[in-house]
Amino acid sequence: MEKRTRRYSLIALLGVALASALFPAFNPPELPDACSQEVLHRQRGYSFIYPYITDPNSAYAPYFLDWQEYYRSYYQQDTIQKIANLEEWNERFCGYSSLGEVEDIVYKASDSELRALHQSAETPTNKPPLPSRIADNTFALSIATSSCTEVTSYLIYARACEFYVVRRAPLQAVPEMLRLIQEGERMFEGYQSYFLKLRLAYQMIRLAHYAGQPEMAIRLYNRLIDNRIDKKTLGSSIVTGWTLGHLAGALQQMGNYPEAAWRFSLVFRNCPSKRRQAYNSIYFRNDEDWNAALHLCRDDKERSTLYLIRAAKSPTMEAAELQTIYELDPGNPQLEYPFIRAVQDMEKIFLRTRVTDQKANIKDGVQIREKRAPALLDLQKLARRVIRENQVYNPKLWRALNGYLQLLAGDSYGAEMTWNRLEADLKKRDDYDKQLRKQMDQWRMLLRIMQLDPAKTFIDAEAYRLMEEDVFKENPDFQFFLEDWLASAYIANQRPGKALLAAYPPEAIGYNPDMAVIDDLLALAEEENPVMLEKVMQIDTNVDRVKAILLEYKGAALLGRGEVEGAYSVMDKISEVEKAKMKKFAPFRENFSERVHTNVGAADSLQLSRFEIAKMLIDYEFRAKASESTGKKQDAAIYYYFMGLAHYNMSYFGYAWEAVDFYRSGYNWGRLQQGPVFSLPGSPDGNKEYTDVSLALQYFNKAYEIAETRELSARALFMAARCQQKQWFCNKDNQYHYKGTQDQLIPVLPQQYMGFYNVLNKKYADTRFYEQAIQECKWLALYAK
Amino acid sequence: MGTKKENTVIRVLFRFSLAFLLLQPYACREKDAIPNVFPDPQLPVWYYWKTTLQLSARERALLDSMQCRHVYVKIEDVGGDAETLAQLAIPDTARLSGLHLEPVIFIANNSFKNRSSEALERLAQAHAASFKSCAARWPQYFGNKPERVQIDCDWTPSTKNTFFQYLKILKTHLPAATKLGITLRLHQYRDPEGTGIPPADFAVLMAYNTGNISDWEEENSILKLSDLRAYLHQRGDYPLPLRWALPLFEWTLVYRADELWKIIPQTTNWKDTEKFRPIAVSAPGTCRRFEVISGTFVAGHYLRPGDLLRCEKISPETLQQAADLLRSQSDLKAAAPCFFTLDSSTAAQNSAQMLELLWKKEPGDIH
Repeated sequence: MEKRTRRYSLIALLGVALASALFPAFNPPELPDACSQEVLHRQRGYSFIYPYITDPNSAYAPYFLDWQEYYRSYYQQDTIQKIANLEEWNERFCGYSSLGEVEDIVYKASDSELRALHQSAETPTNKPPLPSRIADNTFALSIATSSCTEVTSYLIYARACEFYVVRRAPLQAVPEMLRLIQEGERMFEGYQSYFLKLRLAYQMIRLAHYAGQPEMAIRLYNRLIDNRIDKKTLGSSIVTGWTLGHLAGALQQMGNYPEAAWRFSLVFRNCPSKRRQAYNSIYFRNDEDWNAALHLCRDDKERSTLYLIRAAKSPTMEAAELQTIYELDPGNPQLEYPFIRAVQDMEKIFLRTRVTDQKANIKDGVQIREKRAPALLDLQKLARRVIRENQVYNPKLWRALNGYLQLLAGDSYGAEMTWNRLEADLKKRDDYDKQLRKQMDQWRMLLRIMQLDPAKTFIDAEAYRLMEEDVFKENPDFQFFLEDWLASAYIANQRPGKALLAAYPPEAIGYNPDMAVIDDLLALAEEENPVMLEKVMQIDTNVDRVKAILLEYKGAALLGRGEVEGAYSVMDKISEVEKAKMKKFAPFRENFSERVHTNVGAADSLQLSRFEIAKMLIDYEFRAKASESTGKKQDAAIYYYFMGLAHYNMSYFGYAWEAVDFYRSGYNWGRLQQGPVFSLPGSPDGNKEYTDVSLALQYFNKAYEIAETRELSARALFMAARCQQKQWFCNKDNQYHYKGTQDQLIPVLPQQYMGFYNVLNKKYADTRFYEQAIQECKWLALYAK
Repeated sequence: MGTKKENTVIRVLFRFSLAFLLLQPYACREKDAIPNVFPDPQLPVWYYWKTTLQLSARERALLDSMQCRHVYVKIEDVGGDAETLAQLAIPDTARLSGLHLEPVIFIANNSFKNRSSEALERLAQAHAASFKSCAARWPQYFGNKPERVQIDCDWTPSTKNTFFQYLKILKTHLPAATKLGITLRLHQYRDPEGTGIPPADFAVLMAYNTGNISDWEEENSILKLSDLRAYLHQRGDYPLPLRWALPLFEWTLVYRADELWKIIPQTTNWKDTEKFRPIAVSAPGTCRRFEVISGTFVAGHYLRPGDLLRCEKISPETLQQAADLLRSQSDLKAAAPCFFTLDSSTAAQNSAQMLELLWKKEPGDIH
């Protein structure tokens, strides 16, 4: 009893999802924000590399690692630069102040505040009070009491320069910038402090660079930096790198690209606060520039930096490039970033499944994986060599990633062994080793998903158990990967229904109904333990309701294809209680309008469920044939006419399209020639529109042929002509783009599609029906001319 | 509470006004009734898209020989986070005298994703300030004050509302006499009901980028006549005053690991057979293709062995046919074309005489 109750509740969940899917939409849905993450994953593939196996905040990391969101959220180079600068100022004043106080003076103080501070600093006794905003600032007080007038005059000078360097200086500002440089040179000669001399030189070189005077910038650098500032200051100050960056920029402006590139690479290597600018500025016009820059390097470490930058600028990392960097500088701590990046490239290719590709509309995913397999082997080979030679900065990381590469290459046993051996060497209390363990836990979870066997009965239960584990919840990619992996496995095991539900929302059943999918779901509803339905579906109902919904999907699709008997027999299996709940439509009504959302559900129309429509169509067919065989041709013609009406009205072009279609997109009017199946995001097989009106045309033609009154003939001809017009819209050779209303864009039909219109206009223009129709249908009026 | 009769009248009026509103976009229009916001519509206009405006003698000569007085100049590049990536620099005003420069601001579509009203207000204010700055400075350089500004953004259904809102706000911050324009993509031109009609004073239809640039198999992503035909067929009623722009640029697309990686703005540097292996093309006239066989630096990019290259440009014949097609549209035939984009390469490769044929010749039989 308990089992049965549970089964009902499980299956019941299917119903709501299916029921909600039965409500059609008119336009492709906008992807809500929650979905954008999934869309991103479809395009980019999955990643199971845990950022903390390396230092994601290393200033090198963003150039290699693909944790875009992480860096967007947490990594701000401007902040790094500012903090480094504040720390250097604070250190200069013995670190007595907070960084906030230093910031208040160095970055935020106004010109008048700085001048007041300067006045205080240069007054030996009875110092004038500081402005109220900085009166209690210990950094300001320290400057004032120490009489550091060099500092205050520098800060005033820097504030004056700032105006010209924050944004691109206008042409007319150049004279003032040159005047400031002259003033700076005078101050430089008078200063004692190397700390401030370097900063002054930086301000002047930057001004010259931004004033479009690169020669002057180079001259100033050579004159002021190389000979006039002591090595200790140059070696310890962050401003050295900043200045070098402007020298490199000036060299580039002068056309000396190789030296500029070499100097930018030094900034990139040694100056985290200007790394981004250096990376963005480095430029090799050709191979000669590259070779000359390599020649300027003083050792292999500098050369390896050039190779690192070159590699970082590529969207994919190759083992050969990594090998070059490794051979030049095996102990380079930055080497692990391009290696992790290379592994990220591989996981995005080799963890994709056929369903992942299908969702991202990638048709040649298998070929891509085949093509990239040698690159994966090359990377494994390099990893093994690096581990064997044991010269790298962090060999544990290489061992862990080597196991992951084995998993990506399909060697799950090897991967497990590699991780087990590494785990045995890890220390329990070491923080970094803890992160590595966490990483391996994630990979083991991945391994467990990949080992799910769809041939086993309880695979769904096992999958949902995995979903409950903490490790699974730590990385959102697990959910997406599991869905795609399971769906691919179900496809391979001929379970198309389960495959669809695993990877797509249940409304996808109705986009382009596939009989195999619906039959599989019906079989699933009969299973003993349909855990999947329980989890996927969200309704409190019973097994009959679920089956009724699925049978109605199937019946509607058959009705749309014109397989009326099939539709009837399928929907006849729906229980009587459920039949009574079926939605009603009114497809047997005449309607001359082209609008598909006309409300024909009025009380004067015959309201029928899909099942009743099928039943009535079978009945009419029987009556038509019977009337025809007994010579009652007019009666037969009427039945044929109504059958034609029903099929036309239930088509994509009719107001009763909902009787056969669960999702209709008005956008497809503009591309009917590409149909009847149109691409639709979130649907495995696109969106089928029921644009085939050939059956309706057959019935109208037959009605026209045997009708005994001119009025009925005119009616049948008119509808047949509409069918032909729609067939022309769908013709692959037709470039007519239907959009707008009838009176605006009159489609000119080729003669072979004008047959029924021509007969109607020539022979039936005197009928009452024609008079009425020509008033209501402007197309007909124009065709009549 | 009105009488029954009054209620009926109200209902009828309501229905009538609703129908009027619904049908309004499709109603027949007299083209002449639309105020013409384009000065000198019979003269071509060039786009200038580099971040430093410094015309060469050849570029200026081309403008003069075409009697071209107006140049659409990109003054600002706005990136996906609505941040200004680049602003126009004019280091040398020589060869600019007498020209009417009209500012264009390029905004990446992502800038309009999840943008609050306050952020839109800030963005619009900043761009209005950029325009005003040009309006204040440019007259002293070359004598003419800009009276129009164009916003170049490939808006999509998900950003449409925000983008339109931005345009409305921007308009309120611009001087009253300033005309606000937008660039229009072909799909937006084809489907104004679906993509919406921007609240702007005019539009320039960019008649290119018809293909799928990401697809290595694509014949030519810049412009294919068959694609253009499909976009234009039987339209001609766009509800904003329009000009149209033809592509005079060329580029080489670099594909790495089955994905488009870089765009290199030239097509001629692939002659070294030790570095580039030509790939046979299936039909004459289709784009040249190469495979990189030896690693090399080109235009700042390191091309790796295995990279694939497709060189795209539009032949004069195709341009002529495209121009004929565009001029057959009732809403495009009145104006001379715009050209994208003026640089040393286009100035060297195109003569005024050749380009003038694009709109001075009678359209041939295009069907």
